[in-house]
Amino acid sequence: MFDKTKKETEKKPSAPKAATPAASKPAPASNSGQTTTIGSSIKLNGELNGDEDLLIQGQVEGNVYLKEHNLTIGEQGVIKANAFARTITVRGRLTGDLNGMEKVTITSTGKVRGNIVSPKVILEEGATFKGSIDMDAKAAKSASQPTSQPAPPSAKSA
Amino acid sequence: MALFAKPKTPGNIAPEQSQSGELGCPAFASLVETLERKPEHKYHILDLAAASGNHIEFFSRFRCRYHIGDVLHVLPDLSPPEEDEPELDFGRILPLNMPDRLDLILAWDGLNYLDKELLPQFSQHLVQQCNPGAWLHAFIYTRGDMAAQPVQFELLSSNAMRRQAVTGSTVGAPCYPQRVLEKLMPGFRTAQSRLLKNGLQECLFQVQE
Repeated sequence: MFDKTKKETEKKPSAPKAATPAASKPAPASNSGQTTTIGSSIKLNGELNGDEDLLIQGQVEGNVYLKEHNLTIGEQGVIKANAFARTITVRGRLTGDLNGMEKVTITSTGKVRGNIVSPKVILEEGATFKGSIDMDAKAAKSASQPTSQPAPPSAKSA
Repeated sequence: MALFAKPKTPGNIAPEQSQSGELGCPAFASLVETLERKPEHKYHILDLAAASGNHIEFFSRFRCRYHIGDVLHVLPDLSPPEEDEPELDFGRILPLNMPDRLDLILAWDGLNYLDKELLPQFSQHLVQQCNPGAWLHAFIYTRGDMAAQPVQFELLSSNAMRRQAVTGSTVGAPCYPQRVLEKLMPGFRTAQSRLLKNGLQECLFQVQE
């Protein structure tokens, strides 16, 4: 299901034009330093749990849990899912709710429709976002404890 | 009708007030100070503008939930319904179905672009989702022309902003006097109002408790 042969380090996000200095730092790598890629030809429907960083270039519907790790939606990625991860970077399209324990970044090519819970949210110039952002660290912490049966993606515009 | 200086018709007349550049915002600065006095309070903020990294970064200093309204570009095109037409449904234009009530609305120059006949209905739509005492911060043009579309505001600090027009064309500004604007916005009362050097009126409204 995962294209394990495509292990690669995460691409550094381009520096945002209107963000804090911390925004220019790449997402911290996992302990293994490896990123698994879901390739652009892959379509996945269901729940994803992982213990390493993940780059999604394909199409995913469902929920993604990478509790201690980093999730990147690549430029070709089209996601309809709720995502829980340490950091989340969106370069492609995502419909659903994002819970980033440390940070959520939507790059200039990213398009997100949904709600974000994270203590730090970076929106690069050119990024598209519709929804709401909960920038409360306490909320981010509690949201990172997913229930056994998470709610389906809810794309709401504010 | 002396209350409104000019009809909102496109024109190429040189604007009397610059559509871009920096401006002070003392009422906004005092509002930020007020918000900072309750660091533990979680604020619910609605920004009528499109999502802006600059705005999000600024408000990340607060415990808050920040809602993106992204409705400003729609407001200039709304017109009151004809007699046989139903009322505009602001619930569809700007859905406010969030579970929590709002503490602050950032309207910035959007109120200038909504037809004056629609302002009371829009205002009522906002008030219904506000906590008592919630704030609405806005800029009103007091003379001459304004950009044909709402301008983008960048927060430089709590007491300074930069305006950037997205179009070169201009239209006549409605130039609402303070008392007229209050009448057009039932449910809100003026808490602070300051005429800035560039002819903009900075207004801080508060939902009546």
